[in-house]
Amino acid sequence: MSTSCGNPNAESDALMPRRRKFDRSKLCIKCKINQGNIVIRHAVYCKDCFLPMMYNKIKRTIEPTINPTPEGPRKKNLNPSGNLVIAFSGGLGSTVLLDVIYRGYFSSRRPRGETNTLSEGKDPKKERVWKEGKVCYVEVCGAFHGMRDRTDDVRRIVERYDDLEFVPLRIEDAFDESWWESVDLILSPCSRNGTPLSALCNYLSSLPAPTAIPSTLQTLTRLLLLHTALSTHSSHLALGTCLTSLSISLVSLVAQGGGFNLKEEVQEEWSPDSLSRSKGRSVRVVRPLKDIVMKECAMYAWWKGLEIVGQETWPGARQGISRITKDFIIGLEKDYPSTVSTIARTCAKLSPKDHAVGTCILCNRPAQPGVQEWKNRISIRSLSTDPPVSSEKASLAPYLCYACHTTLTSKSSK
Amino acid sequence: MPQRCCQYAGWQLPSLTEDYGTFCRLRRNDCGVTAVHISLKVEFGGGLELLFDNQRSHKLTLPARVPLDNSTSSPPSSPPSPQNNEYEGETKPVDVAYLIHWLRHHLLKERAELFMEGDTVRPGILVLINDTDWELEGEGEYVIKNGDEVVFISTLHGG
Repeated sequence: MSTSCGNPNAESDALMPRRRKFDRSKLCIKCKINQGNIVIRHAVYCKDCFLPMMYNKIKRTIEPTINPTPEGPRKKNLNPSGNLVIAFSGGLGSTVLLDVIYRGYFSSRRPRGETNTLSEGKDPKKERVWKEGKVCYVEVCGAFHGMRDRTDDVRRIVERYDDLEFVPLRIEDAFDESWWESVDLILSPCSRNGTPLSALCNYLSSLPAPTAIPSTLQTLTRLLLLHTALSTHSSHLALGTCLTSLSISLVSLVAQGGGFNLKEEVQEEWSPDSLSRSKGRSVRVVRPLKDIVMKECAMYAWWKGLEIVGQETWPGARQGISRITKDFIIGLEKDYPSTVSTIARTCAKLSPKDHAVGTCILCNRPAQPGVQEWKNRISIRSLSTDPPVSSEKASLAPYLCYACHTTLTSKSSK
Repeated sequence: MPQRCCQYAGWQLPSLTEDYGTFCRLRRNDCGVTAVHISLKVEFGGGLELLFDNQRSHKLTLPARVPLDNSTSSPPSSPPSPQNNEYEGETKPVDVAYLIHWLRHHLLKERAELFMEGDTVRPGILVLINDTDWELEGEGEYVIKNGDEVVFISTLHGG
């Protein structure tokens, strides 16, 4: 096969010149004095300008979400209605988030209600925004045989941050009735033999495809974090999802049938039920790093000397949609760094056509109407020409959103 | 005859008391490059050290001139000569591209696909040369100098 473009004026051995990775010169675009140390989306920054730039970007993302109602034209003091839970996975994003939030909103400020000197008065900028902060970690090693328990490694890192309480959880807590009672959620009694861990393993082994396992674990982790936040009187749950991870999760969510919940994937206001919502009991899930790419997080962690515990790769994850999407987008980011932000911006413009008809009983996110009717229309359920007879057996299907329905029923092609 | 330390440099005859084989001065600027070997420090971060025997920091010595095709199997067989026309074609000053291949073949203990993809580092691995993004230094084409510090950081641990 000829690889020539056919242009007789072109040299046959000519190579396309490589596009520069940065605009203009190697000088920092902010101070215009120092030589640059890092290139972020074609812009060059020196180390001295990079760190304040990153703090300001995170501040601009998180502060509008702190007060219960959005700010009007006049900027108000930061006054959340509850405490803060920082979700910590051991990964790069959550490690950076923990450090930034602690430096900006805890260590540099005095506890709420405390006044050091008379002259200091009650300057709100010197007071902590949240009264209490907790760092919540969900250990998933129980789901995979042979995976190392990293709770102690995570505890060691979190304990370096004074005044933040470490709250360790385990993924099998989702199947532990006593844990649900401890977070003030009363479940209907069910007859089940075995431990929560065995229940978790049975649940995962019954899933129809490898992709369903990381999706399920993400859903269970999210629910554990939300209920922990609610039970600790926290108004905010902060996740360490950076822009790169957000773009990956948005594309992956659409690929797995979760497009109806794109807005919730970026930011959501969650309540366990309508009664709690009417009483104002809700948790706002925020992603302060959503405008920070993974490269910025890595440079911050390196220059601040942060220790990254890391996340173990789940066995079989290579076959899943999430992993394939991650490999694709990280490869895209290398050559076209602006593409990642384009994905997030485009997804932010999307909104579902239909209104939600309730909440999915599995993932607790808004559920769209007509899930089962749609599934029936797009798939062959039976070779018989007779209309299907509706079963009298109780079924979860009518109460699930499309994404959870797909997770529980969509079989692997292998 | 003194040896040229790199293709861009002039050379001048050192004094009779100097050691020919170890040091060469440039006519224009003093690059401090040894004629035969370059010493550098390599560090790994973000979990990448797990692939390199869990050792974060390594001190390496590499040949000053290396094969053009980044082959790391054997060193150049004879000292280069200015009269040898194959000198310029067969070898090049040691650069980051060669360093990556060298690390892959001599230091990496497991899972090479987590470090390299094709002829360069896998997407998601950042490279710093003397605390500066390698994109500002020419990436793999940056010619390593004596005493340089190269850091490889993995960003693949996600959020």
